[in-house]
Amino acid sequence: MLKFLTSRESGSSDPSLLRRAEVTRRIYSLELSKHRDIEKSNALGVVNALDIDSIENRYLLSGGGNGGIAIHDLEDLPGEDKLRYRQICHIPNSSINAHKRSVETVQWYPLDTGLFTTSGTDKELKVWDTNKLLPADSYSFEGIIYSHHMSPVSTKHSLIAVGCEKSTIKLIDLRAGSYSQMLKGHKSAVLCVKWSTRDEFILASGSSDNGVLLWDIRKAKGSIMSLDQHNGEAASAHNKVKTAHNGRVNGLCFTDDGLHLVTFGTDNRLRLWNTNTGKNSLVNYGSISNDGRKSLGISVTTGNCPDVIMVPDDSNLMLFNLHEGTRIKILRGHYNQVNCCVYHCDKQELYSGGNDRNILVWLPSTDDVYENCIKINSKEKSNFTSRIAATTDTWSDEDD
Amino acid sequence: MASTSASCLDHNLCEEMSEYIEKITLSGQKTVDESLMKKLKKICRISDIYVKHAYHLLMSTLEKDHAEIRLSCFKIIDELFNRSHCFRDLLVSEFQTFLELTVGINHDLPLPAPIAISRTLRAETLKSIQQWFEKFGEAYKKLVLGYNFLKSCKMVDFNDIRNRTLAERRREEEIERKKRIVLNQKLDKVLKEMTDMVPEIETCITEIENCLNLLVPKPDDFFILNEGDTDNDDYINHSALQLNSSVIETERMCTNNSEDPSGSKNSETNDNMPNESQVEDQSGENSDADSDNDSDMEPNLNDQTAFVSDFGLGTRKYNLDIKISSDNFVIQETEDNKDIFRTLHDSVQLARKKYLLKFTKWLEILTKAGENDDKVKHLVDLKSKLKTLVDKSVEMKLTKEAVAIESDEDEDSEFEEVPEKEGYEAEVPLYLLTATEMGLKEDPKKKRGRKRTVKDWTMGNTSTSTDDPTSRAANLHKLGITDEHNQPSTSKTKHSKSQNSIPIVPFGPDIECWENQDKIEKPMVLKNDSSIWRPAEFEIEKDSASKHDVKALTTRTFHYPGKFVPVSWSCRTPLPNGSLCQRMDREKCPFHGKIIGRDKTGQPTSENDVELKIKEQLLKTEGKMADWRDHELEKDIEGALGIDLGSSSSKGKGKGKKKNKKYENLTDVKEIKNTSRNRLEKKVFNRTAMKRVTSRLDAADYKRIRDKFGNQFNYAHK
Repeated sequence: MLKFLTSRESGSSDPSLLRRAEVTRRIYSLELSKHRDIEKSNALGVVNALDIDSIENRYLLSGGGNGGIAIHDLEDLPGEDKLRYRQICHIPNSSINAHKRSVETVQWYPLDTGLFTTSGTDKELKVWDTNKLLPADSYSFEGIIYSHHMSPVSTKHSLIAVGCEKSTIKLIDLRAGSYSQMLKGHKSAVLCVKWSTRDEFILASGSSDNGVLLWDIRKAKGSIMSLDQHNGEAASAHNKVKTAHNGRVNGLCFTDDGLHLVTFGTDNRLRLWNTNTGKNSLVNYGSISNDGRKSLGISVTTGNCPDVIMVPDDSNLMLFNLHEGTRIKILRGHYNQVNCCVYHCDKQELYSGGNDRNILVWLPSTDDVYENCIKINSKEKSNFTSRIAATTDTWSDEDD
Repeated sequence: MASTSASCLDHNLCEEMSEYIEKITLSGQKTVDESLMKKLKKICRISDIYVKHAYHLLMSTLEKDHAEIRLSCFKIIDELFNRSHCFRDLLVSEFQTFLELTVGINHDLPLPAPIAISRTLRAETLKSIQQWFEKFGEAYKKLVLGYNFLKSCKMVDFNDIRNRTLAERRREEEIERKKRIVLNQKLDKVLKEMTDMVPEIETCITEIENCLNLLVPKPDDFFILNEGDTDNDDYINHSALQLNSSVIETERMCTNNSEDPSGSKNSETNDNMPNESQVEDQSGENSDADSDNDSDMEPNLNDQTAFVSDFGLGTRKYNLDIKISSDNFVIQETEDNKDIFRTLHDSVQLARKKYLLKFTKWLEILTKAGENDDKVKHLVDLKSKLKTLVDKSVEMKLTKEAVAIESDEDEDSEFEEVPEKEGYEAEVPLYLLTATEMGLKEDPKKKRGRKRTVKDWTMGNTSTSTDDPTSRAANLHKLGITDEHNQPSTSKTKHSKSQNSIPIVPFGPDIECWENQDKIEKPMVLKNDSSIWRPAEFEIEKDSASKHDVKALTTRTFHYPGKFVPVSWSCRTPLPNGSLCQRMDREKCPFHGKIIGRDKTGQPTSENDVELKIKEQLLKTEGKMADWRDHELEKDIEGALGIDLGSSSSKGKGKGKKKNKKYENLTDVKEIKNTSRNRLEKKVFNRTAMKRVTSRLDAADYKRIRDKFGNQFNYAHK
């Protein structure tokens, strides 16, 4: 690290090098935080969806299985010990405005934290005013809404892509206040939709018909391409239908640069696609347990040397090297299924929510910085010693 | 502390470890064997890598589908979890699997049978998790998460568990406290009793001691007593005597045959002294002493010279060597020491029946209370003292006499020591009667002799018969003829004895009718199967008794008089483990067949045997592969029928046995399912059986219908 610092001072190397090295180190050392957690929200129940706002990277929005919504502040750590992210506001499921059933997707409005959108199994998409905590608008659909997404890079449109039980994807124009476009192409329920992070008109969708389609919303005819897991070299000729997976596709994620797309299917596979060519890059990540019927949140890191993808694997989180497919780490902490994870790109922290009603904080292990800090702090001394005592071996002498 | 210094696993230790784990988990007991557990912990202590190995072993064991295995396994896990940080780390990282296997949080994977055990497993695990959480929660985040998960998602009520454990603890404490109180009360009572009784006991001890001292002087006292021998009058008939030349000190003792049931008459018989071994001598010198001793003797003692000559001694200036047989030492009771005996007896009885029992009770309570060490010591001392004294007095038969006196009091000894009835004449068998002559023994001074114990009465002791006027000895006495006949008479007895020992064998009808065999009476068969009167001719039936019956009468069995010869050879067939069969059979080894000559390596020596063996082996292999039996086919058939035809019986027998042995301590889960209902269901709902029954019923129905309505159109066709 010192070497990087000096070389940066002398200007002998790219200034981003230090940052990249440090970020990589921190990501690689992610582990379950022993001392920091997120205030538990009774509104949530099972945690289905998480999102961090992209303006300040400060507010964590979470949607729960019982219809509640909560917002945590990731900057403000109250109290001396700075142990807990406080919940600043929440919408309990008992509220008249809240979703009647499970919330499946939540998303901040990409340009302002004054607005966020949620959707769920009660077939409603709601647009919320954050400050009033009241829905500004609400759209009803014919089927369960599995996923919706707003383009993070759009400047020319404010469309929400909605994937629901019906096979058509609807695009809702917030300015018009109704859906403006329908995208037909899937044969079955659309489990996940994602806008490209590169091109504001490109949309990807994964469905339970095993297919992943890429759309250009300017093109009226249909999808621009259907991703084929065999790259057109299918062994059996009779199978003309292009499939991305051999199971439902319930996870989608563009890389930060928008050049690659990661899909996750119930065939326990993760696939990396080139968004330009639509080719399967055939990276083998191994088998990752996935039997979900709804969308799973997967996320990709930014700004570090090898991109890392974080995927829920049943009750664990897996960290993979995106381009090589090697497993970096297994994060164990949840019980039961993990539903979603979001990566905080500034702090290199990871937040994950699962069916055990927890939102867990994964921090880079900081070489016992925290413990040293506590050691100095005399108030915590007794607490600290007891914790040390708990980690020691206690072989009693009578065992001899 | 366990160090991580050892970097590689020792294979032997690992195997040992898995062996221990297997032993513990297959024991089927609810508690873990402490010694095995200690051994296991000792291995784990060496290094963390052993802990890891143990963890993997345990987790794989935990997956077994048997609640008992899981329970024992969980107990080991609990132990190690409390000990090792490494183990905690590992377990916590796979905590969900652990919970699935022990608490059964996954509905798809319910806990295995037996249900009762799996319930305890669940309860115990939750209890432990509660404890773990309290103890280690701070350091292991995932443990806390798991705890919260169980609490919030699986609705496990930990508060209840904690409360319950608290309540349990309180209840235990309460019970303990009550016990303590009761014990204290007991202790107080005992201490009170002790203060009352200990002085009593001490006096009793001194009493017994004194009595014993009086009755049995210690050898040191003898010489002193010689001077003033009037003092030792109390020791009556056995007291120390001195002949006037006084070179030898003699002690006279009374052996068993000195007692005489009719001692009052013995004044006439005191002239037959020379009986060797048992001598009763009274010194003429000590006549004054003797006169006190024995009133019976008084007439004799007056005339000392006569007395001496009565003993067959010319003068008194002989040295007398008197052998004392120590094993039949009995102190006689007389008028003078009667009181001492009585007191001794009383106090010994008291000690035996009351004090010693009390002592054991007291000691029990005192040791339980765990206090008053010096008191316990004191008690133990007292007890041992009393015990030795009582033992001593019993051993010396000092009390026995007394026991006999008051036999009505002493119910315990009634069956052992029966006092002879007054005027009881032992019935002397004929052949023994002559022996009385040699057993002649005078017992001059037994007034109380009739109160003897049975023990004193032995077959050899025939001295009584001298007193019996009908006995030959008595007659001889009268005539003054003495012992010349002794020798022949003994041989005679022997002869008569041997005559008596010849067994008498009853002779059968064949010998009875030796000369005319036809006359052997056939056994009569009375056909008495009803109580109805019948004419006499029916009795002729006895003629028809078969030859068989006659034969049964005429045959005799003779027992083989030969001697048992132990087998001196062993089978010595080579065993698969390299040794030779060590069974020692006369003709045939149950495992290896007929015993044949073999050389050192166990190979048969004679060629015939070799050939036979080869043939046998061939037969065996053929039997195994019996050509008409096709194992696979049989198995298929069995699979289809669901019935065991025995195809596996010949093949996997050994294996099956072994398996059973391995799991014999565990409850058989299959056995639980094997209920009578299940077995019946299998039979009743068997497809073929069902088909058969329905077709029968259908046929019956059809027949009935056809018979009744056969001519109707509706039923014309089936």
